[in-house]
Amino acid sequence: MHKKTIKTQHKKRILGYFFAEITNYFYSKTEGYVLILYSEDCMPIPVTIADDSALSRKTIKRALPEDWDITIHEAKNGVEALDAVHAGLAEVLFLDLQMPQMDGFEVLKELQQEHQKTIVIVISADIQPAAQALVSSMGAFRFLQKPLKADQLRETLLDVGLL
Amino acid sequence: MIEINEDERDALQEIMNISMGQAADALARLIQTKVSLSIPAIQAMSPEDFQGMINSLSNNWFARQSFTGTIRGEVIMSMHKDGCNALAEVMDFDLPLDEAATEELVLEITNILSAACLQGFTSQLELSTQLNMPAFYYPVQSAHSNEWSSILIIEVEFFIEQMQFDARILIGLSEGSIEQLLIPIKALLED
Repeated sequence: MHKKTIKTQHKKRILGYFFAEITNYFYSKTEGYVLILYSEDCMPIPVTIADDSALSRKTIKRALPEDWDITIHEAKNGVEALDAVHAGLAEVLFLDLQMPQMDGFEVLKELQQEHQKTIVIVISADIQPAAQALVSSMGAFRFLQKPLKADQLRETLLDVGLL
Repeated sequence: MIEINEDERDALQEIMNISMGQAADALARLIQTKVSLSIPAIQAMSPEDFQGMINSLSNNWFARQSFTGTIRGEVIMSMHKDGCNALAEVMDFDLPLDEAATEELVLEITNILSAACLQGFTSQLELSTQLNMPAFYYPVQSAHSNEWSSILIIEVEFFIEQMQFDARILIGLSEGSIEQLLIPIKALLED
């Protein structure tokens, strides 16, 4: 008997991952089907805010829509941001570019190499066209300028389909 | 000496980082080239140390631009002499640069960078300031303002790699202005 893997785009959501594992388990025990349905709407989305500046993290938290059901994790550099992704805490990642230890570009590169499905929204003080082009080529979903405006963030989240 | 705590320093650094990002973007659009920035360094200095630092930049051109309003101070732009020709070329100046053209180039760059940068941080902190005309100067001949018993210096370096262009912006704030600057910063840091 071999174990079958159920690929789900929501695998990183903790609850979803849990159900997927159970399904895998039953698959391995039986010949039939086990169908488990769950509603993704009831699960808060894990969001990580990666920025070395405490003020910027605070600004982003303040700008987040109140009606958005999320859990918030904070990272102070690129290494902590990647740790958060690996721990399933960053289905959505708000990413600063200029950070110590590992900058935003390196984080994007690493995420791309690992084929992570994290939705990255870059929030940067480097607003030059060159930086915007580079991060979008590296897999970032959107680019927002600092100082962050709440209405722009809301619009972006709607646009990406997160709200 | 002025004392600012770690949170206030972080906040000021981030606000300057955003402002300088806007200044770099303004310059990048003008010359159609990517402009890199250093992380803003913030330090309190005595006027003597400040003068010493300025004097050590002997291969640079200088321009100063004062601002008044809720906070008062001066933006000082220091530009390495070697990078001027390359920058002048992309800005359609006739080469070689004579003295008048060099002055014009330095003043124009100063105006672009300091206007964008001042606009950046006053709008984030909801302060009201007016920028005066920039003036070209030689730091050895003209001492800086004596009314500054202590100065908060915010220093950022601009680089354009293809051109070997290297400039730095220093913002000096007078002591009373630093207290004014800290009021909105403290408010931003509150929960």
